[in-house]
Amino acid sequence: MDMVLEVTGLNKSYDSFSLKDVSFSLPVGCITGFIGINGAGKTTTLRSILGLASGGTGNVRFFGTDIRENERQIKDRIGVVLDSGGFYEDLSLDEMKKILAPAYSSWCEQDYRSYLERFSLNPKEKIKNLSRGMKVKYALALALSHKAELLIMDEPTSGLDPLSRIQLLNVLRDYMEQGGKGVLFSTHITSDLDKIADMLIMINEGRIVFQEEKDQLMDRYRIIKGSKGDLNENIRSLFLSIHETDFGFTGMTSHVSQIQELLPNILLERPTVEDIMLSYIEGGKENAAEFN
Amino acid sequence: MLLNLIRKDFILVKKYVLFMAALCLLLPLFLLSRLPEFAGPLTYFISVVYSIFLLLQYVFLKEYQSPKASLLLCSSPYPRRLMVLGKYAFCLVIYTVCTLLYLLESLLLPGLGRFHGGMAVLVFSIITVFYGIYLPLQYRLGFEKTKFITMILIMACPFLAPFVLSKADMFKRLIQPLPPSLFYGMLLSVSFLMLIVSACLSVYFYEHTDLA
Repeated sequence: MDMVLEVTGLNKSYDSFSLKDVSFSLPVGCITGFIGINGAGKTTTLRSILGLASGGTGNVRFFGTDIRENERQIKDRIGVVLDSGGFYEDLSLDEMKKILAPAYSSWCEQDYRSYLERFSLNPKEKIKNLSRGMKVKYALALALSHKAELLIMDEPTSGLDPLSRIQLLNVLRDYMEQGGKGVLFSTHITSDLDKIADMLIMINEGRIVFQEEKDQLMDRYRIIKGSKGDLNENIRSLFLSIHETDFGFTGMTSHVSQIQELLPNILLERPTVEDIMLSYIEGGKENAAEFN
Repeated sequence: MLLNLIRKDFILVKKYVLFMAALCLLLPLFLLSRLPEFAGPLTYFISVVYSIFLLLQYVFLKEYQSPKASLLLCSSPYPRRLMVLGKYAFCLVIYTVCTLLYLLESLLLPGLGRFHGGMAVLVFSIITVFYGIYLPLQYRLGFEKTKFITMILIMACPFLAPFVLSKADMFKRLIQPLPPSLFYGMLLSVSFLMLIVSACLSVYFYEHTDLA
């Protein structure tokens, strides 16, 4: 499978945080959700792969080419949506476009106008007067108006109302339908990924915890509810994370059939992406590695 | 791309561009009517220094207020090197426009005296020294710290001026034996050299800035 992005051994250190040997890859034609709690390292990873962070090590290849070899041509093929836009707030939408558009060799004014129309954005409006949702839509309009082959978005749905989030997801679906595209979508609101993601990458404390196809991941894991008295050390070790109360326990596991054999009277539930993400965090890294 | 980055800075300060142009046009007229002995080269010098300083400060202020806009631009195909060189070109454009405005006025208002190339070279050298230091500092230390240093320098000017003026005769004695064309040629060469060194330093600092 062709890869739009391959990251290998990315390391970047700060005083209180570091990315440790981050490696993952994005296949063509996939919407990849990059998940993790606040401070897990999502933004640092995205900014590092875009060359915005200095002093990091590792290899970043876009479309099979090392970013250090041909940064300008590679960035010409990428659309970027930063959290909270990244605009000069005093400018109008058209003025901001006049600044950014000339940087791209394939800028398409017609696409830009049609996105503004689709999102009901007035080109004469000042950016500072836009709501958060409108700013994200404008950022998307800019990112998608130069025939980008890869869209990198940092927390685009954070702070958006449900309607705006649905509209954004619909735009992403339309974008992917063009074919030959890829999306890397960082978020801690995983319900959006339940709806749209094909692949999931999870990061925690600067380390990649897993990279897996979303459907496979969702099929593999189950939430199990049962009586507390049934638990013993052997059964506990089969859970990624486990919550116990006076009445019973709730646990996340990928060893479903094994547990079913040992405990026939249990309840099984299909987890959400958020359930799996939180179980990995609560279960700890050692446990997570065992379950991977 | 460089032209687009120069245009970007002018878009950011568009509110003040006309104001500064008006100031450049009116300042010589004002001094000519009130203090004719100071009109002439001094108004040219003041208009260039003020225009560049105020417009450049305003651009950096806007960038300081919107740090994520720099992130977005650096995520685009604009190279960081050109983004820095755009600032130098922005200053040179303002210098050129101020010079042309003053030249025009000196042709229309004989009281301002005859404009000659030496004046343009001298003012160019002075602004090169100032901005040749100011811009790398800006990229190394950031807006807040540089603003503080600039403020100290401006406050120190009245104390440094008597010292510089006391040495004026010595400079004159050194310069006088040289033919004017050689002197201005040397001054221009040294200024360009300083500009190149300053631009290289600024590019180095900005390319190694961690924007994450």
